[in-house]
Amino acid sequence: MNRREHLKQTIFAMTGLSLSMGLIEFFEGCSSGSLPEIKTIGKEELDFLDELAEIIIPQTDTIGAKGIGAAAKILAYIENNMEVPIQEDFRNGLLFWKNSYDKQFTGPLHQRSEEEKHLLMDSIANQASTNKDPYHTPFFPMLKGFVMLAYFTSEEVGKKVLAFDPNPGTFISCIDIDEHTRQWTI
Amino acid sequence: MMQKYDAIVVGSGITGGWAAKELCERGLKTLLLERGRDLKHGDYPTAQSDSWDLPNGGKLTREELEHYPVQRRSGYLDQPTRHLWVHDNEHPYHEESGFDWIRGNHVGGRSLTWGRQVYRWSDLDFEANAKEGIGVDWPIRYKDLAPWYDYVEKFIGVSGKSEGLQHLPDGSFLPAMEMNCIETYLTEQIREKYTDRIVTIGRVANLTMPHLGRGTCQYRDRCIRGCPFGAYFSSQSSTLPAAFATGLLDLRPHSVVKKIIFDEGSELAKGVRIIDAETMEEEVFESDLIFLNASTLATAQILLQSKSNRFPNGLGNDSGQLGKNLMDHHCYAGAQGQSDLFPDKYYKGRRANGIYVPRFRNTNAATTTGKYKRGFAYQGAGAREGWSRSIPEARFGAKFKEAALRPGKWTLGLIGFGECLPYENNQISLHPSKKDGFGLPQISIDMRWQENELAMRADMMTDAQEMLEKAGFKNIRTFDQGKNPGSGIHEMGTARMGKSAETSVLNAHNQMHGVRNVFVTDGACMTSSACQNPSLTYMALTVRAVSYAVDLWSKKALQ
Ligand SMILES: Cc1cc2nc3c(=O)[nH]c(=O)nc-3n(C[C@H](O)[C@H](O)[C@H](O)COP(=O)(O)OP(=O)(O)OC[C@H]3O[C@@H](n4cnc5c(N)ncnc54)[C@H](O)[C@@H]3O)c2cc1C
Ligand code: SF4
Repeated sequence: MNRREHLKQTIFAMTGLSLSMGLIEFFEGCSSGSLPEIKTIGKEELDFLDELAEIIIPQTDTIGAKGIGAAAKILAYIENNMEVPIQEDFRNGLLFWKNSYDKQFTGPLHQRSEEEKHLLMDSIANQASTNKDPYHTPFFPMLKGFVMLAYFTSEEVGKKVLAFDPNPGTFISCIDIDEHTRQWTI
Repeated sequence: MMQKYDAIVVGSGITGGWAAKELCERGLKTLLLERGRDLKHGDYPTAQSDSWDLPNGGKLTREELEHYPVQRRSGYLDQPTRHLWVHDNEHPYHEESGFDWIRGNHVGGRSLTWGRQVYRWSDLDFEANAKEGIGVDWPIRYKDLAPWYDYVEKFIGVSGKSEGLQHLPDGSFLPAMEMNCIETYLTEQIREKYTDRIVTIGRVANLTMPHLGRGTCQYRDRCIRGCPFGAYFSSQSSTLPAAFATGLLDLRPHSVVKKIIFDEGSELAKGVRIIDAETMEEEVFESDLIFLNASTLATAQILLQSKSNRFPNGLGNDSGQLGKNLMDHHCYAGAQGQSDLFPDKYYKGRRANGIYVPRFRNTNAATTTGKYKRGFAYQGAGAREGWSRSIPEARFGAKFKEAALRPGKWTLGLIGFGECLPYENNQISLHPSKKDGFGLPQISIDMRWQENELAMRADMMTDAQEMLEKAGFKNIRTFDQGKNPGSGIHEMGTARMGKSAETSVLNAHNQMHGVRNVFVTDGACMTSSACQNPSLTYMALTVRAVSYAVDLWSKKALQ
């Protein structure tokens, strides 16, 4: 199977979406592209990161990742907590995808259709799954991990989205739940 | 002016708190010396903090982590607890081989951060050395300690379930905590499929009902930050208030005990020399009785530093065993699996306790394995997976979000806690040149897991795997994280009890063979390590030793 076919099938397997050939070419280009010139993270990249976070955890009947200010939290977390190589991998990953996006589209990411947003995230995920570079951490698992950490440890989500019970008082070992039950805030 | 007390206790953690309480309640004017800062009951700044109240999602920054190159190895270090661990760069020691010395120097010691699992030892443990010709024989048996286990359990409050096992004796229990559905299921499966082992709920020093003026556990699982309700046993919540209530306790924080002063004439210890950690001034305190409770390694360090003409190699070290036979439990090997059962069941409340599989290898003729000596127990827990389960998946979007918000599959893990044999070459000594900030010699630790421990670890994985398989769990994964000695945080040995002054440091009452008024009742005294968590046994040994010492003191037999 050639690379293009492989990419198509992988994305289909992950998302159930079948892709037009034009978009395939775009994603293929992204997956094998080179690093952008050195650039720092500014307002545009911060907004782009917020949009990526929102694609992972969108607003539904509950708040989404952008609503809790995921991008700012993630960048602060990375700067304070991560080792320099991880910081660099993350920054390079973010700039790489922003660069790739800018080459293909004009205007901010939130203006794209749902399908386009999903295809972008699929290609980020796909690059991670095919990346065998042992010296660099792929972008997608970092991005997703940081988005989820920021989202699930935020006050809005802890108090209003999950089941919040700071002082349970008792332990009930077995309760009935249904498909709408949310997990407890920890 | 020299200050004289009836008794001095060194260290205010689990065992020092007990020694102080018992000495004071028996009428002795007691000085409790603690090297760290004071920490009052209730002064638990993060006890009510939620994750959003803490910076960086509760994780330490890179800069903060630089203070804790050793403490971070434990996995317990985070924002809410960082004030309860030592800054390693201020408390250096030399690692001849990798050894994780995990500790907190403040009033209360590790009584604040401990996991509160409490299990009695039995004669299977006390007789093992003698039967197998390993180390030296314990000078006591279970019957010597049983009443003191009762005494301690009744005071600290232990919730647990009686199981009638000879090798894991039942105690005086408060009502047991409940198991959740997957744990109950495993318990039933093991009962059905095995005759040599059981699963029971953890025996834990958390209160399931009000007890001696302390409140019931609120099921928040935040014990490691300190409990504002006093609902688990710590020096702060339990022993220190009792000691202070007598009016006979003086607590002196910031007091780094440097050495025990030995009087060559009377062959007794006269008192202790301290360095005031705030002023760096040295001071001497005198007393009739001295209890060493600075924790295994620190106690051995003080004894090794206490050199005299009579004891050129450390106080009471006629046997040459001081510093030797260091042990710890080897943990972090086991298995975990998932279950599709009970998708419509959950639990309410965060139970600060797990399940326990008592030792089932080499307990009798039928369970004897030729592969290794002694055995291991499992600690574990069942739970529904949380949101982090979804990180490795490639999914995202609205459907993914809905799924991630819901409880995940049931999962259950079992982690082995294995006995470590006493080996003379697992030891500490004073480093010939390296010093700490007080100008005291650093200790050098040389401890390695040996053949017996390594052979046991293979079973710790495969037995857990087999139990989970037989119980119908899926996606079972074994693990062996192979961590350093010390990582079990149950370090013990270095001043062992024994019958003879030629081969041991302490007698059957934790009294130094060579110095009658010095008692060591922390983990340093242990002659073997069993596989049960050791602190309950340290506490029982402490109260037993105090009772003996005060008896001698009252009869003026320690002058
Ligand atoms: C995360 C964790 C989980 C644990 N879980 C369990 C468990 O479930 N069950 C169990 O049985 N055990 C458990 N332990 C181990 C338990 O905490 C120890 O066995 C116990 O605290 C030992 O009591 P101790 O009095 O000897 O020492 P500590 O409680 O450590 O107290 C020693 C005190 O002495 C002070 N000190 C040291 N040197 C000097 C000096 N030179 N001068 C003056 N003071 C000094 C220290 O500052 C400290 O306050 C756990 C420990 C940790 C950290
Ligand atoms: S879980 Fe219970 S014992 Fe632990 S801190 Fe909360 S109330 Fe206290």
